[in-house]
Amino acid sequence: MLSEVTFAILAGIAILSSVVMISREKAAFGVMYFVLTLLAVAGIFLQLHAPLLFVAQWIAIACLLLGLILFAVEVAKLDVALADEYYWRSKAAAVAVATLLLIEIVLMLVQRHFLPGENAAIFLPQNPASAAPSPGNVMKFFFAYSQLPLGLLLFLVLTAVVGIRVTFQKRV
Amino acid sequence: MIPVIHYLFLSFSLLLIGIVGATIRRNILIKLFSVELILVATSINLAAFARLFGDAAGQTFAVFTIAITGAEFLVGAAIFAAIFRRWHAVPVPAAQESPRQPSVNY
Repeated sequence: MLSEVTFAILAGIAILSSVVMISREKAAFGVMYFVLTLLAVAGIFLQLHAPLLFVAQWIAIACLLLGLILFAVEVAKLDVALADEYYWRSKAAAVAVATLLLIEIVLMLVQRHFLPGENAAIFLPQNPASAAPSPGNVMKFFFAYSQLPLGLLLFLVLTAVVGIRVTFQKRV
Repeated sequence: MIPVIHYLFLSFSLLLIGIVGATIRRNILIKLFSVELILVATSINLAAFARLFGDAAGQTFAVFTIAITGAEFLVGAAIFAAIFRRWHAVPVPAAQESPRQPSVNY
């Protein structure tokens, strides 16, 4: 019961903050709500017994904030060009998301009413100690079975470093 | 016990919100965040099914997705900074006088 309540709170925070994020007119408020979404998703990862993903999500949030700070410093003088947007687009985004979520909820309720137990009967294992993959198993899978993921990850890090270098490039 | 369909519902909701934000909004940062929402939805799916089947592969690919998310934001921000720096034609004071007019034409 406690896990269901926790999941409901975290999922509600994630969905609501993401809706607010795309419906804000100023990007600065969108950043705060996006970080809130990522934090709620990190909590959901922890609830799924994936501590490695929880830590990775925190590192991603740190990278996001660092990149945002660099981006804001670099394009501070171009803020007007970035913030230039018609106001009705924010409202249209909020209305479209609310409509789609309402349709999704109605379809889910209809499906559960007419087809009880079809897909909702798949439950997660109750005993997490025997079923959840440990971080050691994940890292073993990561490094032992293939070197391709490590290469891809290093390529991504290299790409990010190049991106930071381009951001800090001096103006001609 | 939480059914997997709850995680799928959450993931689908984030996917919808991300698609709507990436298509409707015009702000570059919001577009980037919306794309990242789509990737976050992917990681939730991967983690939920890794938990369901007790397999480490799902979490491994979810770690990849999170790494891609961070790299995508950094590279995207750098690309947009370079673009706005290159084609920034209107001076900022003039743009402040008419904030509703688009200052960059492509």
